[in-house]
Amino acid sequence: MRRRIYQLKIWMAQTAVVLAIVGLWLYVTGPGGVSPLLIAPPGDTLQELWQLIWSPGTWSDVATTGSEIVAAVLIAVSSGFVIGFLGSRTAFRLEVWEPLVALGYTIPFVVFYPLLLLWLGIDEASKIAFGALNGFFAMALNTMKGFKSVDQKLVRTAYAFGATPRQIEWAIKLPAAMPIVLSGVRIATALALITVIFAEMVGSRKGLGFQLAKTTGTLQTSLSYAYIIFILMFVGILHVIIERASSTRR
Amino acid sequence: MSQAVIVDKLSVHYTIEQQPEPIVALDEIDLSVKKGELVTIIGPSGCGKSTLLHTIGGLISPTSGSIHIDGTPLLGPDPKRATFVFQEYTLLPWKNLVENVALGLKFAGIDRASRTARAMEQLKLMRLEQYAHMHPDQVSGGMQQRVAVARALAMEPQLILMDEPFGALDEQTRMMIGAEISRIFTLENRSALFVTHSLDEAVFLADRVILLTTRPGRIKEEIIVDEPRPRTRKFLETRRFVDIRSHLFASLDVPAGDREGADT
Ligand SMILES: Nc1ncnc2c1ncn2[C@@H]1O[C@H](COP(=O)(O)OP(=O)(O)O)[C@@H](O)[C@H]1O
Ligand SMILES: [Mg+2]
Repeated sequence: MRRRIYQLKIWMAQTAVVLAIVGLWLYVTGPGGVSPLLIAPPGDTLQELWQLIWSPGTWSDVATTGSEIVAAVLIAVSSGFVIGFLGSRTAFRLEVWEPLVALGYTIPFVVFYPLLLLWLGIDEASKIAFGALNGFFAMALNTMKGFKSVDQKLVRTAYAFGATPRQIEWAIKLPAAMPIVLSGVRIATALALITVIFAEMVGSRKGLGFQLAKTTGTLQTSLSYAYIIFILMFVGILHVIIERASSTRR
Repeated sequence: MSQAVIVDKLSVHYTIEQQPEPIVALDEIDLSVKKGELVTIIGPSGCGKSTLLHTIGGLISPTSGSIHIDGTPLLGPDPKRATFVFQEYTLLPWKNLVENVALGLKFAGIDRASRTARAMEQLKLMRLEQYAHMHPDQVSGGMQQRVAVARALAMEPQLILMDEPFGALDEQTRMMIGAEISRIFTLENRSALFVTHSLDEAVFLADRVILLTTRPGRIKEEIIVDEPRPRTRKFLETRRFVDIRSHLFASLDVPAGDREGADT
């Protein structure tokens, strides 16, 4: 009961913070006198958002961006897992591969995006490649760390209890590495997600990122605000999905 | 009584890189355990107790000598003949307790329903059935080690090898679990080799105590503990227990100033 009241207090405080932000927003766009070209009024923004949600064009952008993200994540996760797994099979391979992958993780791939556009064109392929490239290293590195950190005592125990080499791989090493591998999936997904949208903003002809860049560029401020909110909701939903799918037991 | 295990002139040397002389961990050990007998092994730290146990269970290949369990030589791990209870916590953290107990049965290819049933039986024997669906990190260290005992018992092996399984627990808990082990092993007529660094535990559990020397590990002395099993904690206060304990303590010839000597 105590606990419930405490939780209620937390929610009330959080609501108050959100209301304060909205209040500030209302103030600066109303009595504050800031131009609606710079900061769109909340009312206009909500109206645009409502129209966005009901317009079929929006959902075709969602489909474009969504499928680019899914493709980028699938490529990053699967190739990252394979490279990470193979690179952690022996102590020698780990010593060779881990520093290289860790180095790759620190590269700001954004500098290669113009090249990707040149090679793969302005449509989906360049976005998918860019997202996959950004997610790949996080996945490969975490997979390596996961397999490297498998508790050798558990491997020895399984061997003592009659496990075949195959059973040691599947019943011991894989589940033991899984928590760190899954955190790789989460990081890779988050990176692929954001870089795909960014890539659309920088150069493309469709997708949510493209719409946001276009509306901002043409000073349709309240529409661009509506796109920002829409994209944040879209990203939020994807995060919840991936969090659910990759959470470990219970 | 027939022999569960016969160890014949067993030597184990460890060769270390860049060291010309190998470490002689065990030097021509002869020992045997009868069916249903519980033998404890005690000796100073580093004398080769773990090496002895791991070699008997097939995890280390002997440099020379042989191990026979149930009349046939043992060449590698064979959980139908010998199972381990390790010193460290070795339950799989992602499996619940009953699945952990069933681990060896699963590797042996026994189907889920029957291995779960057999694992549950072992948990009941340990009075842990109400925790069956908890995970290892939700129960105490003492419980985890009792589950590890159940995992070893579930294989119904000829011999159970226990390497200081309760070494990390406090004395109180250790003696309580000791009494439990004594009850179950007597009930099930299990043969066991039990390594410990606690004199109390060594005498309390054993039909026979084997004392090892410092490196190279050799058998220094064997003492029969002629007291019927299962034993209760009353045994700890008897004249016989105290006599055997002080005799062992003298034989361990621990350096002065280190009263519990082997307790490191
Ligand atoms: N894998 C190994 N390589 C080299 N030396 C070892 C190895 N394992 C144990 N030893 C050495 O063998 C001796 C016996 O070790 P161990 O059997 O663990 O002793 P105890 O269990 O009685 O403490 C020790 O001196 C130890 O340093
Ligand atoms: Mg040891």
